[in-house]
Amino acid sequence: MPFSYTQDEIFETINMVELENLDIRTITMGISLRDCADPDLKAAGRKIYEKIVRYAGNLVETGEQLERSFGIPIINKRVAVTPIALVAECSGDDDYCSLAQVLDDAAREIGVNFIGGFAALVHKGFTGGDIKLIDSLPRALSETERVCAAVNVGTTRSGINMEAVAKMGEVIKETAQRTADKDGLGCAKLVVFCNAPEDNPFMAGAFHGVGEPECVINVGVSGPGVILNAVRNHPKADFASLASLIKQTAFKITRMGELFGRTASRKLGIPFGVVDLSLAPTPAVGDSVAEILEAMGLERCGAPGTTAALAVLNDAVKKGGAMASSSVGGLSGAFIPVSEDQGMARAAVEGALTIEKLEALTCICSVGLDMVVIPGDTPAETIAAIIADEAAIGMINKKTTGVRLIPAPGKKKGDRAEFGGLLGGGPVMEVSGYSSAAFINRGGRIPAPLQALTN
Amino acid sequence: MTSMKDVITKAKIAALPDHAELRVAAGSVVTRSARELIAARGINLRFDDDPAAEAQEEERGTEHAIATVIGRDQVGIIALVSGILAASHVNILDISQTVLQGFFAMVMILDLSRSQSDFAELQQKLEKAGEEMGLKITLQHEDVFQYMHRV
Repeated sequence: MPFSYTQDEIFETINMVELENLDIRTITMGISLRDCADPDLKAAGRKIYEKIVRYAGNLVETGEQLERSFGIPIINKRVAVTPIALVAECSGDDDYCSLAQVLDDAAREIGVNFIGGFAALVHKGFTGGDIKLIDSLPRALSETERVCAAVNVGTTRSGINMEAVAKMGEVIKETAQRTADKDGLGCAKLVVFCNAPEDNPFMAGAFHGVGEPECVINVGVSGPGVILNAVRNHPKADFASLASLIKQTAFKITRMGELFGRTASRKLGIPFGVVDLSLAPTPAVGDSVAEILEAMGLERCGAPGTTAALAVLNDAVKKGGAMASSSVGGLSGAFIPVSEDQGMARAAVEGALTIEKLEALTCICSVGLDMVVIPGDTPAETIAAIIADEAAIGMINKKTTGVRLIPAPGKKKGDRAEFGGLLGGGPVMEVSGYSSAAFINRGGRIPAPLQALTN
Repeated sequence: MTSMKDVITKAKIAALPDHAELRVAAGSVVTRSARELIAARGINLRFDDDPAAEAQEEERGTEHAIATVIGRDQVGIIALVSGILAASHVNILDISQTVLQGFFAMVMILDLSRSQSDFAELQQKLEKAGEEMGLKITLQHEDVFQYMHRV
């Protein structure tokens, strides 16, 4: 026989899909738009639309073929493009909202639910195009449905652009106001980064970095449910055995990512980029990172010990995943979005999880304060200061951190905001009432840390 | 790469009359919205044959898949599944089955290289037949198990 699978192995795989929500979280096609720049913004828009539709027109269809033949669902098929500030810059226009509209139309035509890359990289300073893009954000995010935006405000090598941090506090406030009828939904499509990865397949922070090839396929795996069951089935295991168990499970999950990425790449005739190992939760029952931490023995996510538990989880997932794929990239860690993770949202409602504890967790997980709803009357300077804190953690620890805060208009601590679908919903979390305005208004740039001097 | 391909968008479909026939070159890009409109307006989409692609198909040789059947044990499960497979010219390479407390679990390793149904079609036939007997039948490409359980 050419085969050597045992019945147990076969049913283990079936079980993962049927009962434990094993899926591929996203197949994201990165497309370079650098050749679409044009002095006439309308002409640039036409080129962008034409290129996205040509390259990614078959993406959804191909993804669905893979789902059928492998019997594992792909939750999202998405597109990430070159940061639009770079593409639009050579035009004389001041308003880039028309390009956001083009991206939205292209996404609708090819049937992807999100398109990322309405972005600017300003970690050391602004160009004219960067400023125009950032000014366009509130309107672009409120007038489009599928466009995701990212702004990188700091890196370990260059420090933190505090002018940009202050500006993003205002942009987030205004975006929330413009989408007030949907609890500030526009802010759920905007990430402020430090050390943003150029090949991240996950929204809302995905963009196609300048060092990336013409076109590439990146895959984000999922599978908190599979790890949750592995942890639950071994309540007495010590930490070494627990880590080993998570590693073995992460290996299997990541192999699926590798298989999907390679097959999609072959079918579409586009090179395969990376598998992102991030454990990405969804609002579905049993697909929660918080529940894994609780299964390790914490009464609620947020209890003392949560940071250590997340460290065990995050490290074991990386170790297992790194063995399973020859091309690991993107964010590759565990996500702790509050509204997108049922367990996190519950812990926040019950008061077990606070913003301060979340901030501590972001020192070791893959992304920062993600999908955190805060009171609508939080001042822009306070939002900027939270961004600065997160960026500092990223800068000093040489890791990616991001902030996706939603100051839900008219909502107060204890209220609930709903965004629907994969974005989920969650409680409004309390933010410190003490002012950071004088600190934020200093402006300038936080110098690059000693960690930058590695040469 | 993708640069030479025809692209069929929703706008192009909207310009056609209902139930029209649309012939496109093999390998053309047909967007999701275009496909939805094609289905809604009863347009007949046909891809021209691509000799290069067909030659590639021929070369692929063996194509293996794994079918699993889970459900309450009853008369005729194997007959049902093997009947569907035989009708599509699918060869069964190996079968193993167990019955645990009245629950029936079967794994079949299949060779689809001479199958006359395409993968999705066969999958649908098996799933539908399974539902009628209260069984859960899955069909998955062998690579899933190869990748997950073997390095």
